[in-house]
Amino acid sequence: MDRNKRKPVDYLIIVFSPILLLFIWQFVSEGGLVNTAFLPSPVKVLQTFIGMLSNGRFHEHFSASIVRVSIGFCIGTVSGITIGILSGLFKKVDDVLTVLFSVLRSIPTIGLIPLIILWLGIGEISKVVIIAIGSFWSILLNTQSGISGTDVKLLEVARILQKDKLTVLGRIILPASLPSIITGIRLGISGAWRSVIAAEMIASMRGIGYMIQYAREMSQPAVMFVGLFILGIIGLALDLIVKLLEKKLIFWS
Amino acid sequence: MANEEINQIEIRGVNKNFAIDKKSVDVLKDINLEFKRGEFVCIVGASGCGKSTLLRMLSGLEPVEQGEIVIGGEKVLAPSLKTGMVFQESRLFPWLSVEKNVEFGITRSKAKRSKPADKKKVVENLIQLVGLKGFEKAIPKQLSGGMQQRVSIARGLINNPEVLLLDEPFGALDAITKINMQNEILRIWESERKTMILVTHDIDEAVYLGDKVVVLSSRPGSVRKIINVDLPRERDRSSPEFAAVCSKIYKEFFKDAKIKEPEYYI
Ligand SMILES: Nc1ncnc2c1ncn2[C@@H]1O[C@H](COP(=O)(O)OP(=O)(O)OP(=O)(O)O)[C@@H](O)[C@H]1O
Ligand SMILES: [Mg+2]
Repeated sequence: MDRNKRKPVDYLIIVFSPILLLFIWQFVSEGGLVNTAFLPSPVKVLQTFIGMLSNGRFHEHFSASIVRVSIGFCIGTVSGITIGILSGLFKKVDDVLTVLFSVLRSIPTIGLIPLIILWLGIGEISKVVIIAIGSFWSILLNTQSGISGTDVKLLEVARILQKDKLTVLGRIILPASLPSIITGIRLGISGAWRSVIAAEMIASMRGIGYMIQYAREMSQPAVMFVGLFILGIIGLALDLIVKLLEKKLIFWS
Repeated sequence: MANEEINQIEIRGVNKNFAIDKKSVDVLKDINLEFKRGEFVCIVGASGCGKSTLLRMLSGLEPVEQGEIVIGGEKVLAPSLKTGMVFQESRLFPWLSVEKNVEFGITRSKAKRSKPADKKKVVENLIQLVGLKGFEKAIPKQLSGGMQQRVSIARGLINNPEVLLLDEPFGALDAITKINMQNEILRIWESERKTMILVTHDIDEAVYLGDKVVVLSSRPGSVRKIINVDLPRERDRSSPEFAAVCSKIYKEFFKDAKIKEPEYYI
């Protein structure tokens, strides 16, 4: 118990250790200990970021990535949940898909990028499809396991009360699988976020992935660092949002 | 039920076995029982003797493969709204409030669709009946175990079943809450006049509640004895007559125990 309880000193450590790290980084970089072409100082990174904010370059790449992720993730979520429900409810659907899906989902999404570009070109559609795939599997699997894990005891209550299939689905199976579905969504979002960057690095003219890649070609390490920080912060923010959503939606646990 | 019904419930020659690890295990053996309408029946037996299984067969959840069970002149083949069930665990939906959990019990038959206003009234009355007024909006995790079980009883009553099956409904409760709940269930039984079949392993509870106590032997469960409790209600647990009935049942179990575990009584 005591181990989990943080004292005020612990909070100081939590807050100040990253700040200390930034100071060391600044010192190492500006003090000429390493080449700034490899490691620009944090101040330089911040200045670059502000510059990119004001000339619109950041917004251009950022919004491109966000739009793609949003669309791709929505498609991945809707199809993952739908197919998950169908295969969770109907054994026949599950039988048809099971072998196919276990092979397909073992392929890392990044490996599919060249094929998808071949089929769909390098436009927006291919990127959206990659993101959708990148989020699809974890949502599908978690939806399936949520549905098949629905407490049989609750289903028996429905049998005793002679509830129809639709009621059982809507009022028992779906709420019972919700925690699992949300876990899938959480993994799906991070999958989508990873795939968009990969897709943009390979074939794109806009987006944060492209921005990082292009900065390397242009020898702008500070821009690369801006991109990486943004990736980290967005990833963290998305995770927090889903956690919050989970708390709101799963009020009964 | 045009002609005079003799017994509302008839269990005839029921056997049950389950396959456990590929071997068939007898759980119930040659059960023959008859209950009258409005009777309060308690079934007692050791853990694992098949009490829940028997109740599940009465409810239509568990198929009757050998023998037959007839309720109200109809063979039990599947669950029916005429038979309500309160499970050993409260089995509430954790995401629904007390009110919604009870309301979920309502299954409207195609013939008579109840109006929303009626529905609300029925739910309200039942919540009142089980003494949970003021807790309508609470969700199960905000309730104590006893309160959860009461919600479950309300849900079991909502379709106005002719028979209510109760599987150790007070098994997990402390002694005081248990006594309160027993009185509550008697009050409900007296006001609603339903046939109640209550499973328990608490002999005191069985004698306090039942018109009739069915004693099952341990595995495979068979009817060892049927004891009619002719004590007037409200029953006095401390009376010698009450104790006499209890000890009669105790003796039934004791016989069993003596054969099986002599080393127990040093
Ligand atoms: N679905 C099942 N499959 C296999 N065996 C089962 C099944 N249900 C019950 N049994 C077996 O049947 C026997 C009786 O179980 P049951 O639940 O009816 O006992 P019980 O008398 O209600 O016990 P308790 O007082 O502990 O609730 C047990 O030995 C159990 O292992
Ligand atoms: Mg039981």
